[in-house]
Amino acid sequence: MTEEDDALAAEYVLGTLDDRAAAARRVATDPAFAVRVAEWEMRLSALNGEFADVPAPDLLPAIEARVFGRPPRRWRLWGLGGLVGASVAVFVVLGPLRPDAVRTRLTAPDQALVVEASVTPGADGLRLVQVAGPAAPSGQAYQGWIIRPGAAPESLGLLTGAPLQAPVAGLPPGTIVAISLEPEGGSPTGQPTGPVILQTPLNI
Amino acid sequence: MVEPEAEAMDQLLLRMAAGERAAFRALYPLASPKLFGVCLRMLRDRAEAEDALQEIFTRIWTRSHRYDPDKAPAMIWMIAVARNLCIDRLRARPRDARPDDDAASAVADPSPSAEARIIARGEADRFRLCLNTLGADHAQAVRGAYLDGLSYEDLARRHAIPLNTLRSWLRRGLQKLRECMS
Repeated sequence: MTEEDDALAAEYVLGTLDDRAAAARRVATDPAFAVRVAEWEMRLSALNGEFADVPAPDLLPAIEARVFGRPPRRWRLWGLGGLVGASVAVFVVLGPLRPDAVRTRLTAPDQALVVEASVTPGADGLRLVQVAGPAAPSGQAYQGWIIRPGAAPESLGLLTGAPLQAPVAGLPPGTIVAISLEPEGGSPTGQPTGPVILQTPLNI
Repeated sequence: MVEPEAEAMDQLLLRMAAGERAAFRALYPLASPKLFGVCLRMLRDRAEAEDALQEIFTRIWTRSHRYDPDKAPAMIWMIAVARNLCIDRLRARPRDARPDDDAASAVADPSPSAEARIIARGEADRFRLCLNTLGADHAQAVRGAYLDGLSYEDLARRHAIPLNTLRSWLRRGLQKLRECMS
């Protein structure tokens, strides 16, 4: 990385660089250049306070239509019976883990659905990975939750087949981990709205 | 100290990266006032600012998996997304639609927001100190480019300096700024 590259990164962030498209491509492909850009974004962010806060109109419905293609559906309640009756087999296990990670296995009564959650001592976060079984039914998603003793459920995010690393810290003993079936895109309320498919106390 | 709201936005972006739409909905009221302020200041057109804001939130959703809280606080990352989009739009405007000095200087400097007051106690103080050591012209050029999206051409006209001279002059200023802050 040369002085010239750093100057280009500075000009790109400042906005004066002529060939912005080339610099944007380079950010995506050249990690060293991306670091320089990030450093200039941090440096010049000292000016961000000079952008005033201006209440924005509620453009969220229009944005959601753009992003998700259609307005979010109204949530319908689904029974767990149908799901289990259809012999849905879901295994959620963990990707590469430290040997000292503590695993918790969540298993449905008929073993149709198995989820593993893990917490690594001394490290923040809880990890979930789906390894087998079908994805959630069309238009729906599996959503992970933790429930600390006496507290409301906190979303861990959606189980989409890729490892889910949720940034939760300081989980007390007695914390419950749960999976619910939610509309595609997750619970619209931030709290579980669909059937809780699995739940069990977390081994910590 | 991390503001609770800022930390909440970090978490929301991570949940968005995991595909959770409720996190996206929760982010909008927290982040939209600042990002709309960026759009209005840079684009100086309310209708275009509203359209840009929609595009910015679309990008924030689709790029949330690239967000790394260890590298930048959520708001700094989102403002970078917003500024990049606004600058691209400004550069795509026909030449005669670009701002003249009057239009640019007619945008009043707003009073610093709560976020500014908090950051100002640390890094931003140092930044201003460093910016001031560059001299008033350099400082004005950096602010004009960063906050108002002025191009080299706009700055050359405003400072009455030939384009190429201005480019190397501003680059030297940025280099000094980096040295002062390191």
